[in-house]
Amino acid sequence: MKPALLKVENLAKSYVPGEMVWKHVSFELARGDFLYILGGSGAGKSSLLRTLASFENPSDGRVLCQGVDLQTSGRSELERIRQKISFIPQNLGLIPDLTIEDHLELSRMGIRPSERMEESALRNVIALTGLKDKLKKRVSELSGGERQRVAILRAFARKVDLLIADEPTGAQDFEMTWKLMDLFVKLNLSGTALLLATHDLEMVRRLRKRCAILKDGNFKVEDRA
Amino acid sequence: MIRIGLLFKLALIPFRRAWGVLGLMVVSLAQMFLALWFCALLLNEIAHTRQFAEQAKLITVQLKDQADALPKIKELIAGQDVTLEEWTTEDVLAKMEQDEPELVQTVRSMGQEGGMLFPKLIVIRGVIAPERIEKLKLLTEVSRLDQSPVHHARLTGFYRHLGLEIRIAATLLLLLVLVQLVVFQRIQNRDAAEVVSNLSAWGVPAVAARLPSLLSMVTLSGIAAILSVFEWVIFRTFIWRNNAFLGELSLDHGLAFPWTSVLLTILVVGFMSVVLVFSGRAVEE
Repeated sequence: MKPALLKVENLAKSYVPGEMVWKHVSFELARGDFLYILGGSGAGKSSLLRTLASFENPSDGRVLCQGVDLQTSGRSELERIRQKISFIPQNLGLIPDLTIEDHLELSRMGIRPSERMEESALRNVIALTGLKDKLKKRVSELSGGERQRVAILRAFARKVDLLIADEPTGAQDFEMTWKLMDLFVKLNLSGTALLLATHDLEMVRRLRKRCAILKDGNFKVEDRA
Repeated sequence: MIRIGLLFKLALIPFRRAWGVLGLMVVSLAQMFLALWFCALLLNEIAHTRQFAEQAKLITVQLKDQADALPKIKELIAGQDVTLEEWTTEDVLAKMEQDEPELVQTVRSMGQEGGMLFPKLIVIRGVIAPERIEKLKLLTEVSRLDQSPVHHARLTGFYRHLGLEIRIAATLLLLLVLVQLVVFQRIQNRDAAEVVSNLSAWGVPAVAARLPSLLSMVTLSGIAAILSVFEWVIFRTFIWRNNAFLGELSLDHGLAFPWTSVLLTILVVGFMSVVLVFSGRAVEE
């Protein structure tokens, strides 16, 4: 059995006392694993992913990433862990005033060259996302779909152990969606664990990956792919 | 490390988004800095004037037999904060004319001989070191030297009070600068949070993630300081032109730029900025 990269133990979240957004969330993710989190709009996927990526605290339970408890760890340890995780939030987390190049530079800041995606591979990803001629454009000048691709591109710019993405292809057309999913699968095959939230059942069905369902505050991991 | 160009791009985001408000803020900060520079200048002048008023002396040097000791005396008092007047017989007579008109008339009627009755005097007024006075006494050309304090007791009291008031004004101005920086921090809060959350998401250390915010504040204060120096250059000439008539008691020392106070202000503003930017922990961290 592979050692757990991400271990989630009995996690629960509540914004209003007595009202759980989700509860009893427990699962493990090892290096090279792929897990979809399926759920309808408002099911709590985004808050769960933000919690798993250490940007929100759970009301109960704990998240261990590479053996480190994200809630009780010190600042420097958290910074070290975050360098091993890429997170694409639903709001994309981009700075409208910066160019695509700037975003790539920011995501590769402070890490060793060995932890960066090779230049040739990055150029391929840039070409595939159709952003090659727009690298010097500010994010504010891009369309919604392009911005989403910038967020994905930025996540790909560094080598990480875990990629967490919140509906990363929601604003793409059919063709681009599958191009991007192909990228995600290749990244997964190279050893990066993937945790993707979606409400697109068709995508889950086609890719035949393990999935978890978040419904009415309950979380259930399907054993079968 | 973050590239300087990119760091500046991040730091200038608040200016790009709210240039109107921040432009006004720069102008108002510049006026506060300018007022601080003038407070510092006035304190320097007051310190000088108080020193002058407390230590100034009136020294009357009586020369032997019309001896010409002026070059030697000038050499001895060089570098001292004093003025020197040479009184000829005619000068003495002119000063006496009002009180003793008959005597003056009698002396004048005696012609050149009358002039011989009066010794040649040199009057030195100002702050002079005691050892220089001793040297003056030892000059062979000097027959007598009298000294008396110049009484400016009311003036020194007034300047002491004025100095205190200016210090209070400077403290209030610094408080206003702090308020401006707090307001700026509030204005740029959303932009800063966006940058901090973005950088933190990629594992950038908390200190580095807040550097753009600090640079924003430094940029704001820096532009205001530069503007205030320009204004200083303009107002300096204006004030000099209108105050020079006060003579030795005030503002007669060239209105030098108060570098020490400026450096002190920069340090205080820098400290305030660091505290404002790095205090507290953002949710995103």
